[in-house]
Amino acid sequence: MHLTSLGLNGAETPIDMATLEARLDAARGALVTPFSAERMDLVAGVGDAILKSKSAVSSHVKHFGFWIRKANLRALAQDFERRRPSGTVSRPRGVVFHVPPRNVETVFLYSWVLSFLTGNANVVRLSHDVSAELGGICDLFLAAFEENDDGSQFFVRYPSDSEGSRLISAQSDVRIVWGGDAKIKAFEDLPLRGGGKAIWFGDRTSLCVLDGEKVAALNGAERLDLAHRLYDDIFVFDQMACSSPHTLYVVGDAATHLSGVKALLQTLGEVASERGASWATGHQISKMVQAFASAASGWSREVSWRDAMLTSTVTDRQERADLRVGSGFLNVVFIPALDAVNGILQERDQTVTHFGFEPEAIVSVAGSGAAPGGMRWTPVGTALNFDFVWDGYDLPFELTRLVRVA
Amino acid sequence: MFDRLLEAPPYSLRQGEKERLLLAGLNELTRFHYEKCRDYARILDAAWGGLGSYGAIEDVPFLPVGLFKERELSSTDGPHIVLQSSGTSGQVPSRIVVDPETSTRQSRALIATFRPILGDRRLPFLAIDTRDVLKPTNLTARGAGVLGMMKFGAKATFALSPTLETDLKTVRDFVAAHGGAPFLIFGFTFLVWTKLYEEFRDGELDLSNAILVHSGGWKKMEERKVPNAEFREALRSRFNLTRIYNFYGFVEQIGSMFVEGPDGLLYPPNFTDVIVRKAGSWEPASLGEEGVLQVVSLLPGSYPGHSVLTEDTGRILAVDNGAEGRFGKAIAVTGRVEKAELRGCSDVVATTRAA
Repeated sequence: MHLTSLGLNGAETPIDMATLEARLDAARGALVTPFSAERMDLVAGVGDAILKSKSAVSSHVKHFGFWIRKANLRALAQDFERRRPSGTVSRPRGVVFHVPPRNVETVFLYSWVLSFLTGNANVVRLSHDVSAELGGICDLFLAAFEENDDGSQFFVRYPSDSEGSRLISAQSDVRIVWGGDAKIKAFEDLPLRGGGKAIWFGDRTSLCVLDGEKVAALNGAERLDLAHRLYDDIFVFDQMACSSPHTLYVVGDAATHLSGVKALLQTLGEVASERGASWATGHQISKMVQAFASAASGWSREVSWRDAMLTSTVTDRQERADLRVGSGFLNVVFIPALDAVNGILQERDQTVTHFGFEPEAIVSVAGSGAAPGGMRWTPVGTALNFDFVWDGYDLPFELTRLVRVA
Repeated sequence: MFDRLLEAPPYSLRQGEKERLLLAGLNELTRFHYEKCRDYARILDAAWGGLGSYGAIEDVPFLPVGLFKERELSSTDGPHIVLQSSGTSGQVPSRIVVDPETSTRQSRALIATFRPILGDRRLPFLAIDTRDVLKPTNLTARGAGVLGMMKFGAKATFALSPTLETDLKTVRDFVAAHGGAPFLIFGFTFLVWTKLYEEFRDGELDLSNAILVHSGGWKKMEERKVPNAEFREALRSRFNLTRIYNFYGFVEQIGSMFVEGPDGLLYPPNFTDVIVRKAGSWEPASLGEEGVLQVVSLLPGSYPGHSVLTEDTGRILAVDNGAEGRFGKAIAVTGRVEKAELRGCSDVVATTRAA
């Protein structure tokens, strides 16, 4: 098997499995206390470097930079400490194996950083076509490891049809797999080291719920502000991240609230154009095809396709919309009340972004749902902001073990 | 109307006169399909503000060609066949509903388009393809082309094996038997280049009596950096082959073929026209400006394909230039619209394996 370990500036060094195993064993024997000052400083240092970078940084990388700044890490550590049951101390799990998604590639950085901060040794399997931007972030971390003489972190590559995943799984105490259901299936049969645990981030879909009354009442400046926040949710990662919404469920009725929604969508198109979004012509045509097909099927009674940024459909039906096109495509569905979202949610639904509701109303609907979907309710504009609670997992706790001390 | 457009020589109408005649027919077809095809009516209502009466052919609603892969759009209750066809094998096929009347129109249109080139007699026919391309269940664009041209040929001979290797002896025998009088060669441009030209470029082959009709496969030719002029010159100097006609057409509008004129440009025949649109705004582009091709045609009666936005790009380079009696618009097809892979959290195993 051709296994390589990634070094600075994309350099790849062949490493045989026995060597990797030996190094992982050594690292497992020298784990670090969760949220150690040394590791927090290292991560915060990389965050500073990202934010100070002179080259153009994409918005999701910038967000990651903010997320790992010192103050946020300190809050994370304090929160972790506060929630630890009394009479316990926490220890790292050991070796954590990360299999990132191929496309929304920066998302694994969050789970990897949490695993690093909680004191684990880590092996990350990188694909062969990582972006220059992600390569740059890896370099920042690799340089910091070298400086701190930390030999417990590995970025590796190997062919996917090889034994690599099986062999590394057998050495790992935790495995985090990002990707679709098919990818998860491919990993399901690979045993972990005795007592190891698997964390799955599988296929997820997301949606947005708006209060039609509030949308209709927006003045120009407020509408523009909301449009900017929708842009952050929809136009990053081609609208194909798990938490990107594809349907706007509007509480209200079309007769009263459609014009307000249309004004919002028009503003969103303008914001997208102003902020420099652009789609390949082929995607614009694909969106047109899907919108027309939706009309032909009788689902949509109105489709808007002349906006180069955003295509949208409006239906009279009060049901779940499953059309997921991406690259700036929204379905608009009117629902009678916020509670109706619970009839629409399915198990694979992850993020519900919301606008215009009282916090108590959101807590109430999120808590009352009998459906297992809707693992995250968050205001419009924060869909892609990673949180240490993700897909139902409290990651810092998943990545540590509690030791009872009586 | 259709008859009048069909009976005149294919490129005889000036653009103004052509648009006037086409517009009446397109308005009629739009109303007809609106009344006969529920899906089409829904699209017009949802996306085009309902059925209108259009004052210019640019205003006639269009459907994106990909819609025919998503929906089987039919405007007939009578007997019909559903032609399934894809660009290349393995793709989701388009489903085109063809009834006897539309089929007749398509045949008449093809004959009207190619008769000036091929004459009235059926010519001995050499296809630069394999017989296997004519699979009846899901025809590829290549198969549809061969099938269409077989109407003009006799004694169809296939030059390639099922694995697309040139059967040199078959080609030599064919030319020996029929090379003394006009004969027809048809094939995809890329296959003509790699399987005929490249295979025989060091050998002897006299194709001075051949009429070559070729189409498609531009993308691979572009990769090889063989422009049309070089293609023509290579065939002329090597085989003395001078009667060469490229054409542009697609399966969703069978019968509406744009044939290459003496200036190397492609001309829509009288019953068909082309509009170049700017991506994004979808407004008509100006003369010479590159955009996405929309093709209108009076042929489709059994399915609402009379106005289709393609995924091909091109530009209009002349209008009414009169080259050897050719009027109307003259275009160059420049490529396919680009489409990058969308990102997403979901990996499929196949792509992971490929990584």
